[in-house]
Amino acid sequence: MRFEVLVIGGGHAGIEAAHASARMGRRTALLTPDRGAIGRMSCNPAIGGLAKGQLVREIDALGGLMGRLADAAGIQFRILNRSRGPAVWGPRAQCDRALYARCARERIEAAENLTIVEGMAEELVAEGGRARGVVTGRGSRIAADAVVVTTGTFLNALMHTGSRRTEGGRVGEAASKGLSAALARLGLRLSRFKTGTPPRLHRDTIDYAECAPQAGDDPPVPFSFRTARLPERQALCWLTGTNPAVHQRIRENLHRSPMYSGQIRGVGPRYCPSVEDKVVRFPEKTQHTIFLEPDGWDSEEIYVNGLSTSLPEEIQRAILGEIRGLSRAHMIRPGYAVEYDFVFPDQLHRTLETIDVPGLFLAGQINGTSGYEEAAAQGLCAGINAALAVRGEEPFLLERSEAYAAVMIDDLTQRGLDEPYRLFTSRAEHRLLLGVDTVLPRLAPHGRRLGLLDEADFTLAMRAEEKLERAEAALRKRVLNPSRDVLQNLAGTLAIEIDTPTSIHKLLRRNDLNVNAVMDLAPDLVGDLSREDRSVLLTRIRYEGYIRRELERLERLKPFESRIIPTGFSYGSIPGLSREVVEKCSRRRPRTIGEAARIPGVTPAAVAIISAHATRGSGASSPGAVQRDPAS
Amino acid sequence: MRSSEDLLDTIVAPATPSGRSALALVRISGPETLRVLRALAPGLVASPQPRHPYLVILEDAPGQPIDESLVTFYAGPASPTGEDVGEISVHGSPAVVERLLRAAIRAGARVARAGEFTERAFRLGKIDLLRAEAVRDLIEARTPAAAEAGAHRLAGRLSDRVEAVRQELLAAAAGLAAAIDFSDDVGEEIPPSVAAALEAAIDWLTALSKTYEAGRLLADGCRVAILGRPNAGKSTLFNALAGEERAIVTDIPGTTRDALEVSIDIGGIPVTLVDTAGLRAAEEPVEPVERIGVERAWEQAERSDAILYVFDASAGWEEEDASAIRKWTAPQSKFLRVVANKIDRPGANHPEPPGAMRLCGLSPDAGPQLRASLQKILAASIETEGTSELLGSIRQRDLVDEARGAAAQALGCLRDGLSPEYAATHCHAALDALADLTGETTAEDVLARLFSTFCIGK
Repeated sequence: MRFEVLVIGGGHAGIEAAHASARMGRRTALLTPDRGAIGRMSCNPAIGGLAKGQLVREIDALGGLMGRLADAAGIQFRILNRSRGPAVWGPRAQCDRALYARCARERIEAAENLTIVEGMAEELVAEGGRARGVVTGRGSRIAADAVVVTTGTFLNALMHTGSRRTEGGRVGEAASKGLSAALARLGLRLSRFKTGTPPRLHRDTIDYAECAPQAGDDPPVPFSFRTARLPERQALCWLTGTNPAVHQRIRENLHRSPMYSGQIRGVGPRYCPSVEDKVVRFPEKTQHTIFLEPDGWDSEEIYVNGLSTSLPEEIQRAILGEIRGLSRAHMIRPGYAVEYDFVFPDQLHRTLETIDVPGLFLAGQINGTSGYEEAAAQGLCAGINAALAVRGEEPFLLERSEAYAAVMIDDLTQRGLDEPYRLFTSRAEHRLLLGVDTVLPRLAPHGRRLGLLDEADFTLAMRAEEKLERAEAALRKRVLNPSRDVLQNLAGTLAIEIDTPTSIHKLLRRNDLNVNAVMDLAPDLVGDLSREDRSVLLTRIRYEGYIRRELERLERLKPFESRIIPTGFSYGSIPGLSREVVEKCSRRRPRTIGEAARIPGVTPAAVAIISAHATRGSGASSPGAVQRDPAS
Repeated sequence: MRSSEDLLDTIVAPATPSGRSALALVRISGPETLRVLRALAPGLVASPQPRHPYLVILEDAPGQPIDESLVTFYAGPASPTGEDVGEISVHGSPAVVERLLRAAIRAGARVARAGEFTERAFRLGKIDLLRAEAVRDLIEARTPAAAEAGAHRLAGRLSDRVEAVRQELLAAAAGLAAAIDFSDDVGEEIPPSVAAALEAAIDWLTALSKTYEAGRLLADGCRVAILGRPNAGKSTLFNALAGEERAIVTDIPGTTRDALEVSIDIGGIPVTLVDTAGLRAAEEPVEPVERIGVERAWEQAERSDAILYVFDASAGWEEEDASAIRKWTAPQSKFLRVVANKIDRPGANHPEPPGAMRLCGLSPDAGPQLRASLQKILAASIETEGTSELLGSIRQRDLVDEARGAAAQALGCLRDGLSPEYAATHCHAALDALADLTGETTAEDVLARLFSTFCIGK
């Protein structure tokens, strides 16, 4: 068998990579041990959330799958941080786990140019230092011009519940053992991370009267610009919490948690701690919130978000017995911790191709990230770049100011990591430019150019922005005169009366204004805007100055980011660089001065020296980068 | 920043001033340090233990000893500059030092430019910018108090102070990040600790900014001009303050033609004291040389930070005196002290302006009296709110002000109820300004603070 692009793994990264590559017209194969496991959610049955929801919108704007899958499988939709600006909105959907996987599989099976191959990759084939394909467990060889590895948490995976250890990356699914060694043989540095998952309960054994309900948004807002409408029907989630008795029991049994007994050596994420960690690290807290999340319309399982643990099964049972609403709950499956191999991502280019093995791309949790959305965004970028690379085309690189996905990939490849990586909006220095409201104009042109979006999709994608700009222009033009009628009309609205003709646009900048009231003054202008769009519009008008300042700051940084360091640039021969800087830059091979500056340990002084020597500065490094100017 | 072309070679320079002394120290820094040391001291062991002094004979040719010396080797990066460093302690003879330098240059070293050791230490990340500047301040300090301020900065006390502010700003940024990035977890409310941290940061920064004037006075010193009409006794007071007969004193009005300067230390502040020609009204007929002297006196008044205005108490306070001091009281007031001189003379009982200091310039008490008075004026200007760390440059002051402004804007955003991502942008701008002062702040610092402060995680 011979393909242009071979993707190993059918998780969230793998399906995006394979789908993008196939959509770009490359003969593509997706290798998975079990086609039934394509698009399976290993952990919580939800897509999106803070920063992650932004990633999903970005994937969607580029033409990826995740947003449409979540829309199709969602059972409850909410926008987190809705009271804030669109820069930090976090769209989130509770999903039907089985339906999500089914939709994913259907999309993959239906894709042109895409072949699903069932099997387990055991060996990577490299010829002349280039990746050339894989050998499967059954000994068959699949040749490819580029290989994208998206094996998630399955490399040498080990599950822990108490002192019980089971090989495997997910309950009932085998670990991938040969591939780790194969990657190490190619010279890649690997290490171990840990992640955890909470117990699953039977939905009919929970006392909901003891829990607080959490409903979805009304009306629900879809992830994808291609989803016209979502069904009205939405599921409820429920809130409960731990208490001092639970904490006491955890403390008494800490020695039986593999995290604390020393049985697990992998590093776990600080932002997604096990309940053991929470109790130990924050002894002053008397309660930690627990979210009960349904696994689907027809599923009996409830996911106990917030109670990730690897304590022995009987202790988990005892803990549940002490929690409000869960005292009689039947545990379908205990929580467990998973330890797995990951590859240090500072061995990758920003294209996610390994620096030392051309043709070999890595994406998803294998790069030390956590979360479906982080994996999917990497999978999409790796798939696109693999597809471009096999035809010798220019790589697809986004700047940190263009997309959260770029912030993540830049962080991973330029800074490296020492704990599982999750995206936060706070990681983006240009956060105000990365709002969900600007995602389509920012990224859809790229999706169109790459062939991931067809003309009709692209037109649809740009329509929302046009609508907003039209409305803003109209509000600028519509002027209110301080006539008696108007003043009377505004009396209940404005704290300070207007005394000169004033545009509604200008009025909207005033703090004393009730938005809806002014919107009422010009229903013809904003009547067809959704609640989200009105909110976006108001933010744009009110915080215009912030966006303008951010764009100015970006302009000042641009020379830095577009200053190319020639390939083959020799750091060792530059006087004045410390050994550490020489070693790090020689290994990392930053493409631009901006990239070099972000490598930890590279001092501002070293950057100045490198910049002085890399005299071959040239234009922008990102072809077709689009910057929207909301002020215009 | 200077070009880096010639970094990474090995530099040498005497670290002690030229002239005879008990000991002199010569320093070498760079990758060839060990080779140079071994060329100078063939008896030195092949791999000397770092930070351990070796007693060796220095030679500039086989059998041609220069001196007996203590040689200490520091292996980079654990060295003063971050590179390999050698310190050679010899007897303090200019001839010995010169022979040693020539031998070092023959062995491949280059004479260092001024400040080059410090520059290397900064470039290799051994010291932050504040400390690099402090080295300069310390070396250039003209009085013990100025040296102390420089030493505090060098010891990193100013850096520590800035670090304390940075911690407050990080706490604020972390609180905002928690409310933004974990609102589903910790709630949307912005913890009150954020505003408290911002207020604390603003207070610190305000206090720090105020220290600049004092720091500038200590570093650059201040000019005190003695002015007055001819024959008021300016030169007598000048000599009394200088503690020596520097100015020619006669009874002839207009003796002092050109401005005369002397450096003195008043309460730790380096003061340049300026004697001037007596002021005459423009219409008074005077010879051309004295006319120029009078013009220069007015210029000196303009340039100085403080003015001692002297008048002859026996002749009385005249309209000319009053009109002269009006020039310096409004609109921009300088430190001004009016001195009634010659109170021992008969007739020294005319009405005087209030607050005038009465003395007799010729009495032995005059010097101490004037010093005490000047010290009081200057001390008030360097009085800072309980801080011994002073900003030493306008660059530092501007960055501190920038950070303070940004922190205040962040607080304003919170008070106005703006969405926290806007306060966060100001908070990061404040951190960026501090980073320019000392080093780097990364998003990772904010997250580390967040995770250690807030219990995060569904």
